[in-house]
Amino acid sequence: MAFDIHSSHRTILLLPLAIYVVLVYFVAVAPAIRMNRDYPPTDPALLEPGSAPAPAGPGAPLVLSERAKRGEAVFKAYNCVVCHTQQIRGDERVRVQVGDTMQVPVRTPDARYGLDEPTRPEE
Amino acid sequence: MKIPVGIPVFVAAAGTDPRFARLVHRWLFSGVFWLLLGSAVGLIEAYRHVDPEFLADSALLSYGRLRPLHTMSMLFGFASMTLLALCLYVVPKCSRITMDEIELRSSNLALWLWNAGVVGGSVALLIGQLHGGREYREYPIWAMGLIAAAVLVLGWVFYRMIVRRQTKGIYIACWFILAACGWIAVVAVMGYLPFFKRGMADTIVQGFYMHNAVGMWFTPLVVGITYYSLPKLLNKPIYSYALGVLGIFTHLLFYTLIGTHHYMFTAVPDWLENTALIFSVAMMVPVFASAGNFLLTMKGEKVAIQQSYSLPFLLVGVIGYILASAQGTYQSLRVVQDGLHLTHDTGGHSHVAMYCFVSFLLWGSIYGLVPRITGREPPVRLVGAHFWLAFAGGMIMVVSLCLGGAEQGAVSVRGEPFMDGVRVVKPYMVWRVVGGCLMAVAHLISAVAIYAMRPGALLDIFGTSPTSSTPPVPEPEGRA
Repeated sequence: MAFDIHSSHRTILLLPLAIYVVLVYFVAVAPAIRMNRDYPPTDPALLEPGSAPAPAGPGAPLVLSERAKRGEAVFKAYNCVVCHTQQIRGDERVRVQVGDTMQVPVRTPDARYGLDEPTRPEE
Repeated sequence: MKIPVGIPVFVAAAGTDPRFARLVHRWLFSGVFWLLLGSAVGLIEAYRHVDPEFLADSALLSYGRLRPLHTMSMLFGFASMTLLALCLYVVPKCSRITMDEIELRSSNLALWLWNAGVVGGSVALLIGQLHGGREYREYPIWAMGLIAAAVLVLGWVFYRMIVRRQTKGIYIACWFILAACGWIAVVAVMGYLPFFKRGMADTIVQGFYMHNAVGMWFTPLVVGITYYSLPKLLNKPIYSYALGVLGIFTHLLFYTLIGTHHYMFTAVPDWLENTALIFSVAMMVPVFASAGNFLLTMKGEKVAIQQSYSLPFLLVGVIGYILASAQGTYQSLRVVQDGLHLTHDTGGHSHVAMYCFVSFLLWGSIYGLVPRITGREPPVRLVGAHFWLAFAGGMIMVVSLCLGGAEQGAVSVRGEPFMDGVRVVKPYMVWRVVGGCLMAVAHLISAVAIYAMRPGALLDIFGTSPTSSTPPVPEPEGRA
């Protein structure tokens, strides 16, 4: 038989791996690259060295004051991120009443706090 | 040939290459060492939730460093090494061959590479040299590099043995094992490649990495091993081979896509969150394909399970698989996650998955299979004590974490102050320590039991080596 997966070690090695690589591209690599492209970090030239971090917005400020740098080093060395996550969730979620008691958290386009597609200025 | 329960397994082990038995046992015992370390660290952490001042002055033992030490020792020390020990058993047996000189040497090299990686990584964590603060990739890149090299060596060894097989078809257990080695290599490269990871892009990659490091490595390995050990221990064929094939491909298709369900309500694109949500529900297909297959294989084997000391572990593990996955599915729904995420419920879910599912299947396969090559059975009373302490301890821990997390979540959904949630969860933290103590005692007992299974001196006399002219004795069927 030309194609018999049950007895072809090459197929059993390569087929799951190939499918996996394709899926990984679509679900992790491509979205990550796109995020980087559409929301690049703020140009360091726009920030004065030593200034306070810019207010939250697209892109993170790349220039930190000396004090902030020391704080960052402590944050990293003690792995503070275990409790103090950097992957923040919104503090306000819009809830929709379903029936009497059930409240479903949803986000409407104007209640978004993140960098999601529909909030992009050109749309 | 059937060996009734109670006959020494030495008969089964006669003809085994002693170097092979020692190799498997060395992998196994390395895993047990990391289990003991991880348990001790886990206990310190659990106790800190009751008494936050405990050892609080030590920078070395600060919470943020011990937490990854616990998870990484358990995941990459204990679970991975014991799983690979069993893979080294299952692949040659399924292929009906014995490991040759090159394969034995390569696997031994991989063993020391792996241990060096975990030792180096653990020291680096303790002195604060972390590779960023992202879950399950805290080891510095060189430590993870050693582990990745060991995976590649082992993957090559498994592939080589499957190529040399004396059977026409390749048994489904080998599919899972071979696939997992390829998948984890991709996962490790994705997690440690420095490009395209700034801001939200890093969150997307992290959701993928931490989810796939667990589900594309531990799950396929342990399910693959169970596809071998369960029919072997029950001495009957698996209920349905086709369900196994369905299981591996649906697992591949669905599980890969669902990492982002850890980052609901963040700024990750909605389409990615929704994809993750839909396929989290679809994960019921591979889970019931495999777990249902195992349960249907166990159907009607009540007496065997009652008499055996290894089958009860497998039964608990299979039920744990269903529970862990069902919990994962409902936790991924937005309405549930709104309350339960970022509470202790998450820790409860991790322990259902890695303890009640992976570890119990592991232990069942260890106690059932390894005596067949080392020629020594573990003391039955110790295994019994291990089972009941681990079962009771695991249940206490999981239930207290999940209930505590639910109460904590209720506080946050009602919009009450954060500290109220901390107060309400305190009694559950005490129960978590109780469960953790029982589990730690169970692990000490299992270390003694697994040490007692070490290859005996008689194996040197009655075993064979691949170079000798003695034909290998066919492996007898039987129940352990």
